[in-house]
Amino acid sequence: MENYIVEATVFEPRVELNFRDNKLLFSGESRPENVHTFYGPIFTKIDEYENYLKANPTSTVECVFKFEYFNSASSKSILDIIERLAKIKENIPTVNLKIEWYYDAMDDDMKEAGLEFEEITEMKFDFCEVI
Amino acid sequence: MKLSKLITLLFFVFSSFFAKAQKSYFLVDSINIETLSELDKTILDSILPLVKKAQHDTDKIKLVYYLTENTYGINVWPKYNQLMYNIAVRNIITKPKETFFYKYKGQALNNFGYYQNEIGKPEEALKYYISALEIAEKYKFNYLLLNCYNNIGVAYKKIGDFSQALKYYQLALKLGKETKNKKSYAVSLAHIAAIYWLKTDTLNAKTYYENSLELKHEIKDLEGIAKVNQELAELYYRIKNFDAAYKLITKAFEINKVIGFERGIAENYWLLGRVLEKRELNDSALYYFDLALKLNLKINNKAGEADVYNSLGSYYAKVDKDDLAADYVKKALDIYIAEKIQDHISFTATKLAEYNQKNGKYKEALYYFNIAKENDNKLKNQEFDNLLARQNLQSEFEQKEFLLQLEEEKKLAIAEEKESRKNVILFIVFGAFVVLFLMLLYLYKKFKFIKKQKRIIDDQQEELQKKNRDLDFKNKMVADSIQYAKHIVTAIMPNKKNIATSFSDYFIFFKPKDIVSGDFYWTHKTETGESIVIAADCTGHGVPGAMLSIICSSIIEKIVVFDKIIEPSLILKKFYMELSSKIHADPDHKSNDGVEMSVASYNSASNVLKCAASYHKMYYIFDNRVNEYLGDRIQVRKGLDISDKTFSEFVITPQKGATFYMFTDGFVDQKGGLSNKKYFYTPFKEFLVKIYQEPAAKQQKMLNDEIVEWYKNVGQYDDILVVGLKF
Repeated sequence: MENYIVEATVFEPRVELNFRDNKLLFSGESRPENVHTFYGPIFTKIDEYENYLKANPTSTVECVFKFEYFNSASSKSILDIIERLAKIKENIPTVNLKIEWYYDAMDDDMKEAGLEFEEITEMKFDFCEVI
Repeated sequence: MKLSKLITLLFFVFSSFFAKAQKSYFLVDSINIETLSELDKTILDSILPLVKKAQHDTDKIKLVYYLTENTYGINVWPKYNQLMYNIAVRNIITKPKETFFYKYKGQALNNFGYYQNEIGKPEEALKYYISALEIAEKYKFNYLLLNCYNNIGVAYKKIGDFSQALKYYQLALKLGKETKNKKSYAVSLAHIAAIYWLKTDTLNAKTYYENSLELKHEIKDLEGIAKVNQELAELYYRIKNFDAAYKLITKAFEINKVIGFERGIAENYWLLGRVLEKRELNDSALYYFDLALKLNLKINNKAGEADVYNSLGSYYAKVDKDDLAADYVKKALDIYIAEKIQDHISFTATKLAEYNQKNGKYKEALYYFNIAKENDNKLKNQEFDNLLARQNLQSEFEQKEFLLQLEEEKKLAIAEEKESRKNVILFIVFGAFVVLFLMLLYLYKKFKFIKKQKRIIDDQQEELQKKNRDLDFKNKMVADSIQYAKHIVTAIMPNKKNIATSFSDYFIFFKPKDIVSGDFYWTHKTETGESIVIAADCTGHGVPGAMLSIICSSIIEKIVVFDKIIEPSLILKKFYMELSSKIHADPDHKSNDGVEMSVASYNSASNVLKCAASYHKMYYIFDNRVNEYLGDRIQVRKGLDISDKTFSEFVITPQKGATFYMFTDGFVDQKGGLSNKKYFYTPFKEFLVKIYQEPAAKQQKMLNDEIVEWYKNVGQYDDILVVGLKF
């Protein structure tokens, strides 16, 4: 399966969906003008990834979220991503899906957002404080 | 037309204008038409026009050579010989590698020698002959070589070196035989005959002469025939066969008359005179002597003149007119001495001495005897001198030839250098032209390219300008319509002044990112005295945010104004349920659109402040302490039922001087500062503590200054809304 890489811009995060190595990364700022056009393709890719994983079983999938900022519109899309990941974990029990949530030590909101996503999706996050 | 041709043509044109008509006809100077023999005249008339017509020197020189060989006048052929030499030399200088012209140069040199010999300067003649001989040997011009051998022999004979003469004649004879050159062979035979004759070997002389004559008849060499006939006649005269001599003289004379060979004719007259004298036909003899004398005088043949005087002297001595005899003989002797014709001096002087002795003039007789004796001694020494002279001559010739060669080489080198310099200049000029042409071509191409580029750029620029104009226009349209939308939004939003009486002071710091905003505030004062203040943040900003905010404010309006629900937690719950039913009703709606908000309700009469929030924090600051009220994080999303959820409601009794803050995340999440980070909640709290006691308007200004300073490098990220209520 082809990897999906989107370079960061002022308004968009870096997205590195390294499907071959089973590593997914989101980092930077997310405040795109239109969240749907930005996150839409990512949703599709992750759905494809689920099918790919079914055909190509693997043990560990690492997902890293290293946001510095995301606006409220983006937060819904990020939640959507995490829900899709949760669905993968639920549908393919052999997959050990790990989510790492990075946040600035000062950024209570970012940590809380992580906590909230964790709660909503009933996933276990590894929280990593960045100083 | 070649330049050289043009120049030649011009030369002819100009020479025909300015030179004497005579020269333009004869091509050489000072030919006296009256002295021309008929034969010479005929030849010149037929050949000269051809010479003039000849375009190339190769043709011209052949014709001039023909003139040289076939004219006999002593004033004629040497001039054409000079012309031939000039043509040859100028061509050798320009074309040193062509042997063609060397042949004519050699021939001309040979002829120069012949002329010198004819005018009685055999030493001078030898110099020319040897120069010619070297050319002939170098380039193997056998014909020229033969001529040279013969002529050198003649010159040596004239000097009196008979052995040298014989040596050269024999060389000529050998080569003539080898090369089957009958004419030359015949000439050599005649020369050898002459040597035998001089050595008084008349038998051998006669044989050689007759062989020569036979050969000359065979090849129809008229001049040669005449010459040999004359010499043979001389021989017969010497051996006293006067009849044979007479016949031969007649033959020679007829030929000489035809070819106009005047010296030959003069010799014929002289010999004829002597033969007639021997036959005692004295008057006739004197008549021919007179003709011979006149002709010799005319052609300035000194030797011939002297010979005639000698014969006249002998005649007058015979008829006992001794004085007259002595006069003539003296005349002859004077000429011989003057002309250095040494082999004639001795016997003439002896003869004169005898005449004087006979007449008793002993003194004179002695004088002339002495002259004869001196001359004999001279002649004896001459053999030795000749040897030396020959050696000197040879080296002198070599030197002269060497100098000549050097001169020629120098001329050639100059010509070559001129040529090469011309070539270099031509090359440079050509090169310069090529470079110039290439440069022009390059510049032209560059110019065209630039012109094309410019056109493309102009086109692009024009297109860009058009697009910009379109864009500006569309932008203005959009901005105008958004501006108008703002009017509508503002009109829909309640007048915030309706709460003014409830608080001692308040501010609403509302700083949308764009013209219209996703953040909005809402205020209302109920009939029961509650002041309702709501600060909300719809997902997104700008137009989409504003549209959602209009929906939200209309829902709030319905809940608070019409349903008269005033409890903040209830307002929130009711709001989200209404919103959910409105925007999440459509099953195809995929959006995660949502609203975060804070709701406060204050009754100034009872001094009770109630507040509730969804996702928001609220601060109550008094006495430099911050009371933080965290809103509930209740997800309001599609498919989630919140009817059984309850929002937390906080009740505060505000102290005098306290300030209550409600705000969206626009301020705290704004990135900026030195490390380009979010502003964050803690610094925001600390900043509020610093300003909470200030008057509302000032606080608003300070908040504005603070955030503008914070984001100055990165720009505003989101709508900003901070509401401050002072008590």
